[in-house]
Amino acid sequence: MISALFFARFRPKSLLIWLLAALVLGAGAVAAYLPSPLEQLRFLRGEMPELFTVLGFVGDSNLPAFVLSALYGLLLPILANMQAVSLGRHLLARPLADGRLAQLLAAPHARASVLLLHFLALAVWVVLTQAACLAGQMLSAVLLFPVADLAALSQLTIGFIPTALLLSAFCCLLALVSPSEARYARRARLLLALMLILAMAGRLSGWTRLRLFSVWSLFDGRSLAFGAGGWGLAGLAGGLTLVCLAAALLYFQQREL
Amino acid sequence: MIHCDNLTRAFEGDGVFDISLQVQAGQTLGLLGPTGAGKSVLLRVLAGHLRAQAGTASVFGLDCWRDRRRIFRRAVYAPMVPALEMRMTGEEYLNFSARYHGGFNPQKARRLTEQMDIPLTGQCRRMGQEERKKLGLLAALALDAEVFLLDEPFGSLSAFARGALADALQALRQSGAAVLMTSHVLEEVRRACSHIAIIRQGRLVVTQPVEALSLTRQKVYHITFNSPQQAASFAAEWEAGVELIGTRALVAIPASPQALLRTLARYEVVDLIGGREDAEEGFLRYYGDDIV
Repeated sequence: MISALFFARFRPKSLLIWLLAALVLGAGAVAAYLPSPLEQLRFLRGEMPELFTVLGFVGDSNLPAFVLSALYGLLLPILANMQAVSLGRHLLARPLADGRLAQLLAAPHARASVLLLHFLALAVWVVLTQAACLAGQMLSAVLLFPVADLAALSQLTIGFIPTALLLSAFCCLLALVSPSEARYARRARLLLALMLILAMAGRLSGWTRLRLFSVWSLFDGRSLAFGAGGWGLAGLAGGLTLVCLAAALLYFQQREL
Repeated sequence: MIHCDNLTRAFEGDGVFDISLQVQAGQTLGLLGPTGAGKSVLLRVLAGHLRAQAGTASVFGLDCWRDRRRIFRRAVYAPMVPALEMRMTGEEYLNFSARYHGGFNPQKARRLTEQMDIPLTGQCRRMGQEERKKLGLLAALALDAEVFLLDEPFGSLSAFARGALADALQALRQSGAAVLMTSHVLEEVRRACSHIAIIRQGRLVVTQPVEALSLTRQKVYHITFNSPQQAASFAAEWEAGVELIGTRALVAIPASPQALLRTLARYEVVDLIGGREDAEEGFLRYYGDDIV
């Protein structure tokens, strides 16, 4: 039964660290909306306006908008980047290098099934991490701001997931085409960091087009939070995830081990 | 069951070239050759991990690259270095492997575990090289397959485990399975296999039943002459297969010593000792300079 592979790859102990980090980030972002930390952040923003613009922090007086700028501007993209690189490495690059993937393919299972199962494990990790982040936000919001717009917070998370999945699918493809684990790690870190930097630099006036070169332009948080759309871009991210996955499948069918 | 026809596959400076062989049900073919001779490349082609560049490689009549999924319903491949899930314990890995591959035979597994003294309780990452090797072999040999592709199965094993493995391979042969294994140690192949194929620089040198191996052994004569000049003169006259050390000459001949004795009659021979070369020497003769 190929499902045995899913449970072999899906390591709850390692996942706990990611879940905990996401939960704390989510809870912390909402808690920072309390008057005292908010005031401090606004003061700092006044002192270093360009830095805070690059980091995506605006200091809105609306909770979802504040969470969007405090969490989705930098912290969650960094977490998603790190998770994508790490998952691509542990699920594909390393098993390819040490022969575990070759061993898995010396079995009565199609290569496509083996790869899809790895991607499924990866997708479950990403979704659970984002769900933990949302749980942290909800928990803080319910405890500290009972009248908060929880639907808007949920929409932000749901809209963020396709972009996080796209990063992970991209890392899967990169792991398959890279000749070694070390080369994969270098390439993935470099490319994803570049996308993050482009997204951040794209917030500066006169540089806004740079954002288009980053996958983060597919996350339109403001529209998602205020119900003004943004699902089209999230859908595009989902579509591109499928394209990445299809490319990985095609490549993997012909890849020698 | 296993069939290669003019198979060629170059790989990172090594590879196999124009290999033709077959292994029938109930046969164990030992592929013998030094490191870099192309043994593992051949097995990886048969396991569907590498694509043949020319010729064909098939198992059960199915193409090894295109039909690898169907082949592995009834075949097993154990690589030289077992790729274990290091976070699992031996028992967890065995359970995972059994569920993932299917066709697991618990009785066979229990018997092999006892025979080869395989520890299953510790984590794979804490195991030594031999324990990992034994666990990898156990996961492969405990499956009820018809074809076994084993890359250096005896490597890293203790003498005790090697004996148990040889018995297990003989049991496989008796059960009608076809086994293709690689090794660079002649004694292991003689012990476990019904047939032997010697591979040199990616090409098959010879394929024959193990019992026939002795037929190709040459007779070796150590001749001592009364002077170095006599020895040199004999070497010049005899030409082929003479090794000269001072007054002594070493001659290897495949057939009757009649011609040698007739030639020696013209020289002053002090001593003559004859004997048949052992199997290891016969193997070395196929390789010449490949083995130091």
